[in-house]
Amino acid sequence: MSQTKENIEAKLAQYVEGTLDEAGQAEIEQHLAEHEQHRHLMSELIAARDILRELPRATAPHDMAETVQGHLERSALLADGLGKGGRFRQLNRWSQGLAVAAILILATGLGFVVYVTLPASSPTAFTVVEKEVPAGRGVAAPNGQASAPKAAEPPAPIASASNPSTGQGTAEMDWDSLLRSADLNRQRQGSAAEATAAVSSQSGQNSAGSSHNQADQPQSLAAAPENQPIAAVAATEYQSKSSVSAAQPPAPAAALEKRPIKVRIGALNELQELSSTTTSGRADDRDAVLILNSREELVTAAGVRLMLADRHQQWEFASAPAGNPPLASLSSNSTGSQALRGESADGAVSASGGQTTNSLASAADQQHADELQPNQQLANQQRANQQMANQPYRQGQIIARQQDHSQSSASDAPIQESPLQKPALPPVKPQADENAGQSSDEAADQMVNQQAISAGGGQYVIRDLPVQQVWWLANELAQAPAVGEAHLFVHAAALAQLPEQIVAQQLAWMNQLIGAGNNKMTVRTAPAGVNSAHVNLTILIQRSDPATPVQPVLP
Amino acid sequence: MSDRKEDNFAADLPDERTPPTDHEADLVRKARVGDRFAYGQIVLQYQDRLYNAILRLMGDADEAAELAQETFTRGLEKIGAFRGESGIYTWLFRIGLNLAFTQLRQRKRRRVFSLDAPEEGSGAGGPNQASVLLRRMEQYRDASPAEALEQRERSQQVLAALGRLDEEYRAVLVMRDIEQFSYEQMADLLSLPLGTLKSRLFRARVALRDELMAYMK
Repeated sequence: MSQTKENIEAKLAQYVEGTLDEAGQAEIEQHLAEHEQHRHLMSELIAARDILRELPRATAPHDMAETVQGHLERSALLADGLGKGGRFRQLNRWSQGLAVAAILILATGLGFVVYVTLPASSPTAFTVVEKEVPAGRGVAAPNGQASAPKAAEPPAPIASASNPSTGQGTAEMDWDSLLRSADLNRQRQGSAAEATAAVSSQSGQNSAGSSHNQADQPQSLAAAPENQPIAAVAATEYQSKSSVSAAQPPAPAAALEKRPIKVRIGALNELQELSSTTTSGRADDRDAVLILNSREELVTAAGVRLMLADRHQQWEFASAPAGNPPLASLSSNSTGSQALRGESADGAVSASGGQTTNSLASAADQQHADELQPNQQLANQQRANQQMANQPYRQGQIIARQQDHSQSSASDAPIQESPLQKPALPPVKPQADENAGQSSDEAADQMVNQQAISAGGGQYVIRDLPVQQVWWLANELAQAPAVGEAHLFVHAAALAQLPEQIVAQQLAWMNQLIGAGNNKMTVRTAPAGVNSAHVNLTILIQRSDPATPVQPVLP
Repeated sequence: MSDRKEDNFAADLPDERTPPTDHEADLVRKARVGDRFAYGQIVLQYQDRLYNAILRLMGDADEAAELAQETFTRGLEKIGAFRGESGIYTWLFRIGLNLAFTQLRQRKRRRVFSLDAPEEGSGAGGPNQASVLLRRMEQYRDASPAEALEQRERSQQVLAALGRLDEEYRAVLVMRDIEQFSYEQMADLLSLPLGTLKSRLFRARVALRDELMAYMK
């Protein structure tokens, strides 16, 4: 049906257009003759076709050819450009790849060169090593005989007060008790963050051939029942082999409050680096103890403490109870290292026969030392130092606890109340014959120190300090905001070896430096008959306490 | 009568049923090898015819011009694929027709030819305004003003009626009555059977007659 209709419509379309064959055209006209309506429709369709064909023809815009031509030209140019650009892009990709490869090669080469040429940037190593004590420094011999003294050391006019044969004269520094005492002092004063710090010093000097016996020495620890908590602290001794900021063993709970860091220091610059390292890497340790091992280091500790003064950390510095190494060389202090190890083992400290041993001994040792005053000079020295007994100074200890700025009031507590005011003195058994090699100043210093210890004094004697370091010490002390008031005495005998002009210059310089700071310090010549090429200093340090005027005592 | 009119109409247009002349074949050959001047000659030869056809399909002069340009551009791009089985204009018209259908599908709306809209050109102010006026003056030069006005109105009404038709009907009417394509060419261009093409053409005429009923009466 649909096919028939489509055929009819196709024939009608051809009829309208006049393309139908004669047979078909006759058939349709016959039909149209019978149907007038269909004829009329065909007429209208033919009329519509004519109308449509008669429509005027539109002409293209006159610029069409130009537009097409321009478009064609642009297309041609773009096509060429695209072709070239494609080649360029391909070349650019190669060039980019080559550039990246060259950069990688150069970077790798540069990195290799840097890795090979530059040294490893490891932190300064503070190794715990035993160093041999150089000969001539009076290292204790097994038989109690001292080794040959230093050739350059002058003869000692004052007999020694120690007994090297028995080892009784070997002073010990019980650092654990020192730290314990500091803790107890804080507890008794009711201020956990008390800023007063207990810093040990080296006080008594024994004979050059003094020996020590660790088994005989720990009585100080045993005598003090409060030593137990400090034992835990001592157990946390940290002996750094790489750096202080290295991984530390986890501290026990009892030691959280204070963790002593005991590091062997071989040189001053190492200590300075240590100070910066520990303060920068251990900012959370606000209460730690840094124990040094020699008097020079103690002096340095004062400088380090001063450097740490404005870091808002509580640090305590104490000198190790080791025998003094050669003063001219801080690197050879094996006895200090051994002492530290002994301390870590049983809490007791023993020196191995250095020239000087520091001690905070028991009261029995003090009595025994009183019985062994050998000569009048020593007695005079003792009397002279007796004046200092009434002074609020600590002898043999430099209180170098860092001020806690938030608890400055507690830090200003009187030092006399500290249990360190009456520490146990080490046994001092001087013998006249064996004190021939002992310098008089050492004996005098020991007496001064002993007296000061009894009175809780604050005098510290620095012996054989190189002149070149005097100004440095003064400068460091002058910049210390927490030291308070101190007196620096320069032994005139030592200065006598130097030109007077230089001495005056040094003193003026030191006073100038000290005056520039906030501390009240004076520099005076000390009437000590020490024949040394070095300057001996006596530092009296007193905390700032307006109620207690400073009464410097000349040794 | 119908044959006479058809002959008169066919005389105005190039006969697609006649094979291309040697000159046209030479132009095509040169254009295929990249001679743009030859292709330009082809453009000049067929631009009016192609534009007119597309204008009747689209009903908009601007779109017709754009599509005509696009047709010639694509013709040049694809001239290498021209096999010569048909005339070059038939080939170009196929391209234009596809573009017009695509454009019409994109519109998706029935194109309404406005009787008030200008017949061609872009209207007042356009670049072709002068040429449009010149052409009109030429077209109606021999007629009286009344006759010219009547002829113009009639043309607009026819174009409006054509624009109202479906695009399928419009295409077959344009291809047959304006472009004068043969049934075979139309069937090939529209990919339709010959009988279907003729039937669609008859229906397109009936639809146009319905649109022009008022005008014809």
